[in-house]
Amino acid sequence: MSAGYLSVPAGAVHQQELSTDTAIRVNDLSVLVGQKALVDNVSLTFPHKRITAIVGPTGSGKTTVLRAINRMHDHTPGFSVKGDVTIGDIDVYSPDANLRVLRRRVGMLFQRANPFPQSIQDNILIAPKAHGMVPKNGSRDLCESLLQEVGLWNAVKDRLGGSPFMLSGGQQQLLCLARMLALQPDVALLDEPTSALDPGTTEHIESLLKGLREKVTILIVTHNLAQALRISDEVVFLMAGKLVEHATANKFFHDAADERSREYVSGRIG
Amino acid sequence: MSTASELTTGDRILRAVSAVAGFLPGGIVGFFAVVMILTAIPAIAFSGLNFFTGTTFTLGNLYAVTTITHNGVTAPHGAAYGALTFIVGTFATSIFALVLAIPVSVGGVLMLTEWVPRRLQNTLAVFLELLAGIPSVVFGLWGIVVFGPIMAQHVYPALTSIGNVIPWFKGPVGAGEGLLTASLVLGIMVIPIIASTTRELLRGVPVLAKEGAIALGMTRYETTRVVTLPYIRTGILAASLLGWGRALGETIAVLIVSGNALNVLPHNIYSPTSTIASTIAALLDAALTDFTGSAVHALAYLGLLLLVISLLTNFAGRLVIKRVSTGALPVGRGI
Repeated sequence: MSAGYLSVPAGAVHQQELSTDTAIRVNDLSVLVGQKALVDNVSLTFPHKRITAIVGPTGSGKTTVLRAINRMHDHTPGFSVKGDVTIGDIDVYSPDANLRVLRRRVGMLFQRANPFPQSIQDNILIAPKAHGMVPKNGSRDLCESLLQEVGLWNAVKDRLGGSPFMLSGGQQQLLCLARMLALQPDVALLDEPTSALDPGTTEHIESLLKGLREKVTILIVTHNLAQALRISDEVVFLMAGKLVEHATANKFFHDAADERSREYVSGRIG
Repeated sequence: MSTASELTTGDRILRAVSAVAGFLPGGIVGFFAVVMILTAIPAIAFSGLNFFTGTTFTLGNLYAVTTITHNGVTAPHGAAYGALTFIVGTFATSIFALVLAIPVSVGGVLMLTEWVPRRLQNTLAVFLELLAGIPSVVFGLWGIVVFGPIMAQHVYPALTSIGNVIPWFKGPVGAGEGLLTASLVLGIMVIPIIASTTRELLRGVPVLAKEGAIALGMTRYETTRVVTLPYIRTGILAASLLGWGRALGETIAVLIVSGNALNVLPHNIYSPTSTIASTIAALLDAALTDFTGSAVHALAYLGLLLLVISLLTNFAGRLVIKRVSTGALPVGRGI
């Protein structure tokens, strides 16, 4: 066993077996650009209401797997996807899949904050309004409760009509988190959401994510192994587009089955 | 900072050339302004405020020997320089042109980039550039021979029914030479300017920003409205001002299709009109035969006015852009 610099106790994570309560099933997933496979025949399950960290070296296909789950590759010219993804009763790649419903139920947070060029309040309300989810006269309350939930309310309550671009990077990312939560998603796809943020905001977001686990299935791509150790229940380790190991966080960090996983955890590769 | 002794001959030449090149644009504008003002001064003295309020613009009887003198300036008998007709014509045609061109260009380009395959887009972009390259005299000829008559026969009569709501649309519609035809032709000439700029602006909208909306299940239309348009709003404004400048100064096409109204304000949108630029072109030949020289001064005054209007719209535009871009928009600041 070679846990290296991460040989600290894994905190709250004690689970030894992978969860059998599956939220997302990925079957023979390949993502191709032309003939080149960015993700090569990956099959996986993601557990219901748990945090699964997707880790791996640069170019391992972490983000590509994540973006396949809510069909973001549809919008990138040259990308093609093979295989199946099912989320509950949604067959994601079926020809008659409803993308609007899929993306209402599967939220996404990006590497850098990308608030809409609209007021802070509209950033939160635009998507729920588009989906017909805002009760009459309830927009102000919805806005306040979401901003409270992410801990942004006090900072922005006096300038809800102002520009989100006046906020700090961390505050903008929190706004994007609130915007995502406004649709009450079942699944949250997080693509290195804290990689551009300071440690304080990172810690804040991590504690929010741990709380969200109660109601949302969370998939988080991260470059930061310490972050995966702090917040994840399960870990998916990819290398060069292939699945290397899928284990509980406890097992992955302390007793990984694959030699490459142990090397990655110890910092010898990656 | 390098001292003079460290500079090689090449450096010195480069420095001199760049200094000249740097000051040249400002110098040319300054020189123009000074010459125009000096040439216009006699006309300013002769006309006074009547220049802005009068609708009668006539060079007077160029063949008579009698003259009139006003404020120490001599002009042929009967001369009067009231430019209100042209001022109204200039603003009316150019603003109508923009009202037509902005939605068509922005809407058209948005549709192209969102719904047409990339390869076809590039082909269509070539046509846009071709449209920009058509000489304005060709637009004028086409306007008076083909476009104007067709509009007057088939389209304008239908528009007169709007006259019940907006009186300006009431007939008669005339033969197709007038304010509306000039505006439409100007609009078509302005479309390539606004459309090509919009196309560049759309390419500059960050993918990440649009993905934020897509990932929330929003449609293309919603993404365009919520993300794309706010991002390019300032740029469209700037492009529109560029187009407005073109429309304000456009001469020969307007001269051909405007109906060349002198001394009368348009009474509906089909009426003949004249712009400042087209009037200068139309009257310059006659003005040069004015033995008192005052007609040339009057045209210089028109030219000066056009210069001032162009500069003012330009400055106003910059001001608006500056104010808009410091507001809710990410333009010009890091995100």
